[in-house]
Amino acid sequence: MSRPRNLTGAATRAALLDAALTIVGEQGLSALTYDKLVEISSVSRGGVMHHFPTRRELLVAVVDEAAARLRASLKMDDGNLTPAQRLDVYVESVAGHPSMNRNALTLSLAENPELLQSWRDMQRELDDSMRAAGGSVELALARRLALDGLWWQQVVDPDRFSDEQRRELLSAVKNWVPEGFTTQSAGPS
Amino acid sequence: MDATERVMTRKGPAGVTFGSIVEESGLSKSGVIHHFRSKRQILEALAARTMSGFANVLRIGGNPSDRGARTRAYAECLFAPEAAPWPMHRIAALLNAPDLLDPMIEGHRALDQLEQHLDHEDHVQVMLTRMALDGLWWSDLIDPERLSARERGRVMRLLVPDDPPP
Repeated sequence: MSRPRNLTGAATRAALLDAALTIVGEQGLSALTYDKLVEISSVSRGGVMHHFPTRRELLVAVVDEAAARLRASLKMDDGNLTPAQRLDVYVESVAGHPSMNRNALTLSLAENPELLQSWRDMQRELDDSMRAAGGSVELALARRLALDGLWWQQVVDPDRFSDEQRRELLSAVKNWVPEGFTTQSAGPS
Repeated sequence: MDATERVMTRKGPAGVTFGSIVEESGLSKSGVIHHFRSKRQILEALAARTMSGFANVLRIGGNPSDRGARTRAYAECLFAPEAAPWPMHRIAALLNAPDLLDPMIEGHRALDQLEQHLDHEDHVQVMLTRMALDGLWWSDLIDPERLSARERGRVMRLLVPDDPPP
């Protein structure tokens, strides 16, 4: 892949974040070093240091970028999605390439729990839209939590499920009704 | 070990250094070294302590009709009060030594083996329930205040129906 030689400052920064997210998503946070970043991005060491003078600044920027991309993949700013469509995009986000951004966020926890604030905000925003949509909040929550669990599995033990099993679970979750639902919904809501 | 957990809770797993453990424990450095030669050994001991609860889940055995009991035991193991520092261990383990996760991974796999005789529909039900419990654990970890006690209780009863109401 050829790389443009004369990137503007903003474009260089974006390319660096792109490279950093790829490294973290594929090899984990500890693999994110200046050397590796220089190697992957083809930006000079001086250029990297110019944008991210400290590892801490690099990390904060990576986490922010991951959160922004996750937001975009979840179509958070599209107020017109129905609850079913919202679940669909959540499934897509866990199933697809954007889960790399989740990995970056998770791994930031290992470094510094404070970095997760953007994730918390996003989660609460989704919860609120779910509550506003009506219907069973706990059912909607259970489905999303199952997806979070699936994604977490992918981080700790990617080989636990075969691709086929994983696809099956991802598709089943869309209409999943936990066993406790009938008894509970019979009671006052 | 308790000192290690306190350091982890306060500074995050990356803040766990041998020096900070010594400081937190109030013991002398040689006193700590007497019990644990390295930070690695302390983390190993923590991982073992955490995994001990998982044995209860596996003890139930693979009878298909016991899948509810296995799920309940799984939930108890995840959310038991003594497992409270457990999330931090997992994360610390991920960062510091991914192989520390092996006992947990083996535990999950052994549990999966027990569930493989279920019919297809039950199997999907069980796996999604376990995934949702993991998701709830993850949610508790990153944002303990996210759900009200009432909402969390309702989700929990949805996933583990026989769980008595608080």
